[in-house]
Amino acid sequence: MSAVSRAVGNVFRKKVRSLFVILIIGFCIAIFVTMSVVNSNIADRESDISANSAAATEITVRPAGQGGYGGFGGFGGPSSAMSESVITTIKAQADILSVQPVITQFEGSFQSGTRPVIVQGEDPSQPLVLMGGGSISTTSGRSLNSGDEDAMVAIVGTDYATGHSVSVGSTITLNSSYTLTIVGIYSTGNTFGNDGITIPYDTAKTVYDVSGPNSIFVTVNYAGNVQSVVTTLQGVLGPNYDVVSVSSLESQIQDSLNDIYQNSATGLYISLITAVAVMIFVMILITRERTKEIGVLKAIGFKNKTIVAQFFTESVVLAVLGFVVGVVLAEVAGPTLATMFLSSSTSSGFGGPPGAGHMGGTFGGLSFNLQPELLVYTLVLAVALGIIGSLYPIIRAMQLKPAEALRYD
Amino acid sequence: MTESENVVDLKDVKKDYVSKEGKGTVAALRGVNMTIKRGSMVAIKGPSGSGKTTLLQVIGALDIPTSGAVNVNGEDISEMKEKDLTEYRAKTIGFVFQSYNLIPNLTALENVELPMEARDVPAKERKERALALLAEVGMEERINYKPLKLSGGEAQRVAIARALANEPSIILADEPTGNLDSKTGETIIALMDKLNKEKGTTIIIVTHSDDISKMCDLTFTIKDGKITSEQETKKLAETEDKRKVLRIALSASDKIVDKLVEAGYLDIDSLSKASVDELKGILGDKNRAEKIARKVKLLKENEELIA
Repeated sequence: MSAVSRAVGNVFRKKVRSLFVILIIGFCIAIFVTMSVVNSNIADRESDISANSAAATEITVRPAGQGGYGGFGGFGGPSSAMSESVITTIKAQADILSVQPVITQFEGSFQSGTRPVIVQGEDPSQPLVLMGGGSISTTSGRSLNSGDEDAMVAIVGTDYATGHSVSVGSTITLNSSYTLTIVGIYSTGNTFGNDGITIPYDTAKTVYDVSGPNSIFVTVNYAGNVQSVVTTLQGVLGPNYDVVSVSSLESQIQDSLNDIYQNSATGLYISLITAVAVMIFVMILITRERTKEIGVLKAIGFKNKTIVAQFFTESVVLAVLGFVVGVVLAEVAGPTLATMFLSSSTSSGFGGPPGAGHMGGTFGGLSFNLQPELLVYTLVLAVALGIIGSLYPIIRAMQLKPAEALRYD
Repeated sequence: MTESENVVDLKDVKKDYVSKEGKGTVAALRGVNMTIKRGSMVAIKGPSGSGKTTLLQVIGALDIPTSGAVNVNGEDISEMKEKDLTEYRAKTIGFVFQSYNLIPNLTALENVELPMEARDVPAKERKERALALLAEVGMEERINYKPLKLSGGEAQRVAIARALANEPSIILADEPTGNLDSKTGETIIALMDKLNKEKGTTIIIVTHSDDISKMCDLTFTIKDGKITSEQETKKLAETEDKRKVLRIALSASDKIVDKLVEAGYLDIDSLSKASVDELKGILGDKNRAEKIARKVKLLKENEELIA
């Protein structure tokens, strides 16, 4: 029996304790993986927002004090509907090129086992503004046109089409009972927009039984006029509405994302530190319990390096088993963990800022995929965790003379 | 006596420990001189705390003496580096502990294989040799048992097999019967005696027991870290046994038997070769000499009866 196989056997010497340790480390690794995925999504989102800086002439109008699209996974839900008279009021102001009312709804939820998809109802006669921003290009079929006002048609993003295996001519069911035909597939150049569904504004009113838009996107004729239009609209609409320009919105979203990023990074580091602390504690316990055994191994002629290899292996096996449990936990409970985390972050004031609509809110649809690179990185980390965790107790054990180790009780 | 006849030769060996309070030192060995012949079975006796175990650990290189020379097989191990000491422990020494110290999650066979693994013996050879050793100590039926499933005597047999794994020239046994009942203890010592005779392995046993020391060639008594006596116990025990036989066989007094033994007549065989005049010279009395000679003649004639 080699030192390695002996080490593997030793892991199961005290089964209950080992199981407990593996579960704790697994939980820490699950948190680590989940927070890594959240951070990766935040980085993508920030990149999308930066790419969206062209929308410098856009203004968003929403009911006062209500967030973007409600953040990740539908938390908070879409903001309440506004009266359609607001659209008329806005259109009557100077320097305005177009006004796009948007109804936003979610289909599915993580809780029901499906990833939520954002459905937007927009006026087909106006330029479309989609989740995540960016320019829209039709990759198959057509876009929504004038004449589609109350038609049961939809256009979907490329990711949605791939993920749901649909194409032009396929049908989708919204709000459980309305069947719509897909007439086009589009790309916005970002993951959020590409995973959405857009239907005509009046159709959305029927499907979701709402009376007005959740948000209104206003395009101003010249960037230099944005601030004056914001002031004018705020004046005519009154305090019940938030009027926000895209450029200030971007800054607010970035701030929110940074806060979430900091929170998830803190969670990530805490999980790592906890795992290292648990590993060090357990290895101290194990080497103390087996000090006499170390003495016996030394007495019968084992080299220090063989004994070190045995304990290192034991520690690494524990950490790798923790990794396996952690990955399974992350796969099963990661989306829920991320949801809980983002929920607590948004309830602390990290929700989408007012009017974050066409930018996808702060978190308009998290993609929870455990990339192979992340798994390899985490596995390397688990091995390092095992080595670091066993370092101190093993060095301590190695410094003991055989006679001292044999005297140890 | 040449150097090669001595397997262990200690010269003025001292060992100090730092006291438990961390203030000052405690002397465990205070200048021990000791010579042990190759192939002998030696007992180290002494009260608790006298330094017996420390002495054994110094010989086994489990501990380093504070000063003095520890020559084993002609090499001073007190000057060796850790790497050489590890090799020394693996190759030259086999340890048998009072509490067996078997690795609990390994089987008897795996425990016996361990020292060979330390010396990188190939797996197949390890297994074959371990099986042979376990058979030698009567444990061939228990090779797949883990220590907790073995009785004390069985566990100690496995420990002895483990000690023999690398065919060491010395076995150091620290109170090997300390945790065993007297009957099981006797079988363990008998096993060690057998190994000593058959393999010529030098065996050094730390013990409290007079019975064990009587089975050893030599007994060192240690007190307060110093050797206080050195006796050829086995020879003494054998002489004592023969004295008893002579006394019964000749129906003679202790005084007469003592005179005969002192003159070198330890048994009936040797007495049968002595003349009446020689016996008269030893005993100083012609009638007694003739009486003894007649009894010896009679006993020789009834040798079967004596046997």
